[in-house]
Amino acid sequence: MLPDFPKSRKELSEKLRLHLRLRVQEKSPWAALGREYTQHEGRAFSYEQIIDESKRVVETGFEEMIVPIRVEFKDIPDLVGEALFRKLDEMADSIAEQTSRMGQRRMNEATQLAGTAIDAGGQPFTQELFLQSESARDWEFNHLTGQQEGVYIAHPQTAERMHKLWQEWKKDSAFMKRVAELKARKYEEWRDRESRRKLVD
Amino acid sequence: VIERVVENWLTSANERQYQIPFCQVLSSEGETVIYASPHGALEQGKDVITIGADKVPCAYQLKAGRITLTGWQAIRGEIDELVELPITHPSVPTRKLHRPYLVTNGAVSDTVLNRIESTNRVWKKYNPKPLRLIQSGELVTRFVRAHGSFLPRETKDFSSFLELIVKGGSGPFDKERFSSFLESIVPIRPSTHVLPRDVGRAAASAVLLTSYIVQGCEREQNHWAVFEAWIVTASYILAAASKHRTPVKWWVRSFDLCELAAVRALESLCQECVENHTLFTQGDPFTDGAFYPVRITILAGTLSALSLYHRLRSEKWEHEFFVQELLLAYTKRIQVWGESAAPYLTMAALELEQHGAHARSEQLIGQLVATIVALNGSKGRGLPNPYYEPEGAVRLISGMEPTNPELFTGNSYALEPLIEFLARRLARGMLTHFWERITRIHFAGFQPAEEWEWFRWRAESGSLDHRMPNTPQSWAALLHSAENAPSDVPSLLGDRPSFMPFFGLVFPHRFSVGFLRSLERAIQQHS
Repeated sequence: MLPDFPKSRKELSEKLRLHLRLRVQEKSPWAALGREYTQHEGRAFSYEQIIDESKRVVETGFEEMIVPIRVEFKDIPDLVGEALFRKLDEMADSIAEQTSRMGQRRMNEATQLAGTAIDAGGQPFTQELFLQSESARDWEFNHLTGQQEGVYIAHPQTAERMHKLWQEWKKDSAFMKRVAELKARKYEEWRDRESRRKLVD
Repeated sequence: VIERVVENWLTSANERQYQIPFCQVLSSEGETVIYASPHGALEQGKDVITIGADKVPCAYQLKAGRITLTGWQAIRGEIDELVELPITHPSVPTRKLHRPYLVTNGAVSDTVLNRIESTNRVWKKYNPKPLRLIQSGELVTRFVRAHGSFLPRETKDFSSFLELIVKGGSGPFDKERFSSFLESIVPIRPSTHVLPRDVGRAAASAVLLTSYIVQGCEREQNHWAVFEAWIVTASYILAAASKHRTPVKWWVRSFDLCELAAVRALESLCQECVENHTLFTQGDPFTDGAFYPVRITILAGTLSALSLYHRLRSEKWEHEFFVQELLLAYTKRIQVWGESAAPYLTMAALELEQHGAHARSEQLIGQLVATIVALNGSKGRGLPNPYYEPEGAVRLISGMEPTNPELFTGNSYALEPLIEFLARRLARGMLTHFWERITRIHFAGFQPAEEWEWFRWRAESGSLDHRMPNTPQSWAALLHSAENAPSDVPSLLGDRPSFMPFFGLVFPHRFSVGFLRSLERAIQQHS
């Protein structure tokens, strides 16, 4: 074989993989927010979902992600520095897109099943729709501060529209009163759920 | 090449080191090994006693190196005992004459050969069967023959074998690599049926290959590594036997030899601890502090497992109280490096109970539960899962693996069995205290798809299942479930309770609800 340096190349490869992973997390909120889990053996896994206060076991397996890469021999000598990171970024774009699609699909399946999915049917986003969707899901609060916890995931254009709408809705005292009432109810529900985390007779 | 490997290994081994593989060779040749002196000490000149294929008992005395006339004169008394004194063993009828053998991994000088020939005439009046000699050349031939066709064939397997042999023996044993190598020897890959005889031959070959591979660890007196190697080999024998439903008689001798070798390694570790005057510190004082608590945890777990092994075999063990003292004095030094520490702490807790230290035992497990819920129930990296061995976990939590992004929060493999441990001891107060934090962690458990894959280092098929703790959890229901019969433990493991403590330590990712229930039940039956 030609002279080579496998040990150092392995180390470099690990560093590049880490870089790629972080870039994917930057580009896909699903990759950044989802719980990561490394499975060391076997090919299947299962987890539980809570549907109407009862548990449902979801048995599943791995899904393959494919990122086609084409590198010409003539390009390899120059695949260092910025050129290398550009190539990694291309890969990160593709992985992030696939991760988001998969995350969205899994979330849709789960929320449809749990009855928490609201389909606006292409209609504009309204106060009623907002209250309906917020009402359908469980809210989480910070134990120390009591602040509501959670993240909204939306397309950048939708996010911008929602932000503008919210600035308008904030001036609507009747609407904000309904939001406050919803929050109080959700807080009570959360407290109730939290109080069930105990050993009883 | 294998001849050279065997020859090199044999010339560097002492009589204690080649005793077990020699037993394997005898067994492969059709003899039934009924006794192998456990501590290497001579028993009436007999290191190994067998019943030959022709039903004649045989007694072997093992020596290392070249035997010259001076050496012969020094061992003459032992040889007289070997030849003249009848075998006293329940499996050998009294007064049945035996065939005596003197075995050496070196050569015997011509003068000694003459002496043996002439002395055989004198011994004849006590034992008409003459002393026979087995020297290195014959040993090598017989060892190679015992391997049959179960040797590494592919270049990569042979290269892995040689690398395992030449690897330095002072660090933790590379179980992953060794397992991968064993999978090229032990027939677990083919889906077609393998004959029982071939499972037996492969097991015998695996025992011999393990002996060659652990020589570096034996040279360094790295007893922990030697112990782990033999338990991995024993597990792969069980894997093959389970996969092909091989009757016990074909593989049990090889399995028993692995277990004996593992026990001997732990006995040596215990002896080293008994004689230790440095509070178990070792090497460079500037770096030992980082690893000292890990060493203490390993010692507590392995020595407790050895004590439990003797209990489960209803054997009295001379160091039982030394282990008790060590546990009482050093449990405060224990460190949970990751979830692979759970079996070590559990063995220590189970052994403490045998000495009446119930509160200490529950406190130990309680502390482990507290650590898991604190680290895996909050933000951060969490406690490395049981797939991380002690050194790997220490490296990870110390920031020595900057490119490994694996996170462990939100799940735990060991939590559920530990909760059941406490529930069976009616530690309701402790569990009530922890339950709120327990509910923030999912119970993880891997279930191999087929029973035989339990004994593989990594199963190919199977499911990693996550369950949420109940909110609320009924104490009565928890207690009822904790006292249920073990359900998911392979019968080959459940039928060998004394092997279980060792298996749990070496395969920490198999430490499950069923495993712990089964082990505790066995201990209860033998207490």
